[in-house]
Amino acid sequence: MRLALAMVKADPEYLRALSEAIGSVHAQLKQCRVCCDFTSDEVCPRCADARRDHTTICVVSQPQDRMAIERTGVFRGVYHVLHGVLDPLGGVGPGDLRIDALLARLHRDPSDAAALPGVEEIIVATSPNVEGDATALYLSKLIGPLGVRVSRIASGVAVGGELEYADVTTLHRALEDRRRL
Amino acid sequence: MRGGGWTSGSERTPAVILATRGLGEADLLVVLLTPGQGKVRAAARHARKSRRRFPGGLSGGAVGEATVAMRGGGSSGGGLARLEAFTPVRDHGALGRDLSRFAHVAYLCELTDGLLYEPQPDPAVFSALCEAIGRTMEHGADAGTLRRYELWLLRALGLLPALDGCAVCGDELAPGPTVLFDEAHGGALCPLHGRGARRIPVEVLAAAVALLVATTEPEVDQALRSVAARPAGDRRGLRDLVLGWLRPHLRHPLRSREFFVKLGPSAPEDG
Repeated sequence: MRLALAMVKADPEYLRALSEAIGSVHAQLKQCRVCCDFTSDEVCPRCADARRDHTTICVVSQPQDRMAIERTGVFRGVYHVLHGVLDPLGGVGPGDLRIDALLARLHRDPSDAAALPGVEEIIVATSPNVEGDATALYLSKLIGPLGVRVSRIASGVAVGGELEYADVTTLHRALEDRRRL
Repeated sequence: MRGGGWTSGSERTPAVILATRGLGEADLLVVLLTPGQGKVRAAARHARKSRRRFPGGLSGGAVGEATVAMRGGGSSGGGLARLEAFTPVRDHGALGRDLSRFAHVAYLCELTDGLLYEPQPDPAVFSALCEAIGRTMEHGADAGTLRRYELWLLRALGLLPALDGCAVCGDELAPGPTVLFDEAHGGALCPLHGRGARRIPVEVLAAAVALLVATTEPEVDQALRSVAARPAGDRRGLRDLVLGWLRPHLRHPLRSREFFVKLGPSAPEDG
């Protein structure tokens, strides 16, 4: 109701532009033919950017996760969006994710001089929950034998958090994934 | 815990998360199994953001302590409860590090969700589910554990066919390598009442009975070892038999079973 009332008061020209933009979402947005992220072009700006490190692919489950990582400004590689995670209760299996497209990116034709450099590392950045971990495990089993390094984003006690208040699962993970100083 | 049904106040209770589903931007719809209230559907506000109220997350198969507030009318009102907090009592993160455990625990939860109606409190069902999840977490995915839980749940809900005597007259079953069996007539049948019934191997039926009657830890271990040692054909026979008993009582095919197939070469042992 609030939204409807705000629209009644809004500039008609603004409303027309807004309705056209909403109407064109389906027609204009498609999946990047390389990384499967949403884009309005055939290839998204990140995959088309030669200054990025194309030897490292960060695998995320959804476009929002790619945006969150991109906001950090730390990662200069490229991405791959799976559009989901393995979920037995939701009926989502490996065939329902964009895993084939990821595997296709790992097979580079060595005779093609214009091709981008071969992929050296896959960073699996699915959420650190049971479904995200299982997806990461599945990918590591699939990709590891291809000679590409597969790593997982770190997880454990939150920055600024206190050990005393951490739960058993988080502490267990923090101890397991400890690193040498 | 307060006795009887929950009122509008919050209550703490042991619980297993059977399923979660997205609800709006950051909320989750959570299906819980509790010993005192049975199956409870609850909304968990901001669950995808709050690590303080939901430490360790809300994943299917997590066993822990839940704080739940029922809407007016208590559990019998049929309304959506409110999950205010959930703290796991054991690390269920191990599920994500083993695809077979992951698939098996999801199946145990979905089967329970599919067979139980709300509210249908049964502390024994809660204990049996906790035992099956605990065993899978500790000893790894084992098809025998699934069979034992399936059989146990069928019996607890009064849906298990007769296995050790004629379903019609109660007489002993005829000795021999096979048993006359017809679900439509209640299960195993004597020669008099089993005319035209199909025959199933007596060994398969005996394995089912052994899984059911085992109660102590050593008995359960022994029954599971004995099922695992049987020829693959017998194990698949037992699986298909029990799944055939379950199917008519499920409202829809279980997605977690389809998931076994979707995993392809990584699929867990299922029979």
